[in-house]
This record gives sequence, C-alpha cells and structure tokens, in this order.
Amino acid sequence: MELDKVASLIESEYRFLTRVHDRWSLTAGPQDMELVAHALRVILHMGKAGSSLNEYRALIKTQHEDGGWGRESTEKESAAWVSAFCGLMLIRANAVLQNAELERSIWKSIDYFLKDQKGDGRWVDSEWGDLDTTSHPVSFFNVVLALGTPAMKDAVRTSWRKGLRFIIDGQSEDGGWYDPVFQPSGVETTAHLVQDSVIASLVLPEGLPVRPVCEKGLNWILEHQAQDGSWDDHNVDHSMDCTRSILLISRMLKAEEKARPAIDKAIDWIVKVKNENGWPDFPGMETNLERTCDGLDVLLKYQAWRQPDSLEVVRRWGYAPGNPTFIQGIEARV
Amino acid sequence: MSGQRVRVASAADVPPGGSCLVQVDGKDVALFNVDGRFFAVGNRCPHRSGPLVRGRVEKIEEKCAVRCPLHGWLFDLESGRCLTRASATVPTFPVLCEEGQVLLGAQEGAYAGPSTLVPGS
Repeated sequence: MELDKVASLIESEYRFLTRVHDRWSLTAGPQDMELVAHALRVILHMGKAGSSLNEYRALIKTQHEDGGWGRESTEKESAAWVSAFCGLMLIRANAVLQNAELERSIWKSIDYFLKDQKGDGRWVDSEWGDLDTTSHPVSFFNVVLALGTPAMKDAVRTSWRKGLRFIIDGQSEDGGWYDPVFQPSGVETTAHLVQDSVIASLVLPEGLPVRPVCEKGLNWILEHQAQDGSWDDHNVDHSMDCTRSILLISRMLKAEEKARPAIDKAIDWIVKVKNENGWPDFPGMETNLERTCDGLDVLLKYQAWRQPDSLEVVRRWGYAPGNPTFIQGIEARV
Repeated sequence: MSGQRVRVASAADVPPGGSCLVQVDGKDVALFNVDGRFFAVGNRCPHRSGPLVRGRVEKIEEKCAVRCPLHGWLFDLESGRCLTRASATVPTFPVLCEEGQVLLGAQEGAYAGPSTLVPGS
C-alpha cells in the first residue's frame, strides 16, 4: 500500500479519535481502562505523549495502592492484564516525559507484578487465559529492561526470566500457543505471545535463546492467514494482532521477504473493512473505539516498518532504546 | 412458551449450524440453530462486548455452548451461564419454532416489541 494513503488514513482516523476524546479519556470521567490504555498507545505512537501529561496524570490517579489498576477506573480490585497494559503505557510515555511522578507510579506497578507472580512464573487474571495474561507483565518487563533505570532493570530481571520461561515452555510442537479454556484456536494467543513477550529477548541483554521459538511462531501465523488476508474467520481484532506480530517478528528475524506478501494482504484487508470512522469487530458491524485504536496502531507500525531505519518498528514496542522518530506531523490535538 | 412472543426469522433463514442477529424490543439477540434446535441469547459478551453471533458453537458434554470470538469466554446456550467465569451470564430468550417461523419470547416476561431480521454471519 502506498505510504501516502497510509498517512492519510492515520490522519483522518486520529482526527476521529480526538473528536470522541471524552469517550476514552480519564480527564473526562470514569472509563474502561483497557480502552484508555489502547488510546494512550495511539497518543504515544502519534508522537503526542509530550503534550499529553494530563492524560498520564489522570492514569496515575486511578492506580491502586497495591500498584495495579481495575478493569474500570472506578473498580477497586486490581487485575493483572489491564495493569500490565497501563504500566507499559506509563513507562513508554515517561521515556518522553521524564517525569518524577510517573516514575514513582512505574515503580508501584513493578512492585505489583513482582508480588503477584506465581511460583511457576505465570500471572493469573480470572478474565484471561494464563498464557495471555503472563505475556503482558513480561512485555512490561521487556520494556523496563530496555528503557528503565538500572535499579528497575535489576528489580525485574529474575521475575521476567521466570515469566518468559513459562511462556516458552507453553509453545506447542506446531509453533502455536493454545489455551484450552479461552483460546483453543490459538490465533490471538500466538500473536500476542510471540510479539509481546518472546521476541524482545533477541535485543535484550541476557535474553534467552528464542530465535527458533520465534521462527516457529512466525510460520504458524503465516500458515493460518486466510486467502483474503484476514485471520480467524474475519476477526478484525485477531487479524490486527497477527499483522502487528508479523511486522515485528519478520523485522527482528530479518524475514521481511518471506512475510511481505502476507503483510501486504493483511494491510489491504484491514483498510478494506474500515468503517467511515473507525473499525468494527467484524466487517459490517458498528465501530468499536478499542478496535479503532488497534487499527491506528497497526497502520502506525506498518508505516514504521516501511522506514529505512530498520529499528524504527521495533521502537514501536519499546524494545529498543531511543524514542521513535514520529513520522506524523499533523496538528490534531488531544 | 407463555407470554408474548414475536416472529424474528424464518427457520429456513437459519439452517443447522447457522446463526443470525435479530432484534427484540430494541435488544440485539444472537439466534443459533444447533442441529435443528434453536437457542437465543443476548448478543454481547459481558467481558469485552464481543458479538456472540459470530462465535463458534461447541458441544461440551450434553451442553451446547457458544465461544465469544474476541477472547474465548464460553456460554451455555440454554442457561446463559458462562462456563469460563462463574459469575458471568448472558440473557437467554425462550425460542419456539412453529410452522417454519422462529418465535422468541421476551426475556423474563418483559414486553416483546416489534422485531426485525438482520442478515447474520
């Protein structure tokens, strides 16, 4: 797809997201925290974190005393999955903002996950499978190891290694990860695990030898793509997950030529199923804001994947030092 | 089935193994035909609002269940009870198939208003 078209879509979809700011921002009132984290990821990748300190301060205000977050901003009980997503957004934003208040909140988040990990390395959340849940604190710790202070890195290293080992050991012979309770088809779980947790070891010091694990994961995802470019029976969420996953893995394994046809088809399909404003869960359905944030994130990562600097896309996950060179220069304000 | 009921589909529109989205009293309802037996449940998963009408139907022991296409929560089609998280449920609607027409009773005896058939998956 032409980069001009990608840039134009990003611009128009971001304008839509800013128009509905009050539907996802904690500065406007109570929110679903997963949606908040999805939107903050878009802000980050649009290069707007530096001018959005109020959004991150609002995120800190909803953090619980134990360091976690609830599924809803008003919920008192912390949940692992969404807490990892929020912690991840804070540490990545703070690479830009360098704010002491945010740093304290990141430490609380680290402590929450250190205390909450089970003996075999997993984290548990009643609403998600254990493999999927575990991939998110591991992803958070990946970024701590890439972008955190030396003290933070020392604090998480052992726990990170145990969590990563739990995930690696859960890979099936065919290269996929399956959750018999939540995700028997394995599509979303495989796409999450390989990009969010395993692949970062290739660039982190003291990482585990994960190249064969990632190669098998990449092959599994490529083999499960439908002819039209989608995954999992036209599931927009899972197709976006798989697309992001192969963007990152193919770059880090230097397997771009192999993955390029699948990426091109996937991006074409994702653009084709977009509504006038935003993306649906399945083609033809109404727009879902969380999916819209996912769609923007995929296009931003694809845009980075096409840049001459090969690490640009890796920075969109926070696994390589340095802040992304934000390609967008639009004036939409959050 | 007692109380008011509304026609939501022709049985021929939902063949065995099929599903479609219907509306009852303004509510989205997922209608399933499992081997000739019809089930109707609220369309939105209580987890992340995934559309259950797009979920896969599975048989678990004697139960028929639908798996949410987003994150895999599984719901017993008869009771609406979630089989992956005990505290979650989706509403169920009594279904009657009569003279080739699928009729739905309103949930818990609430008023069953006009209904429309929406092309399904």
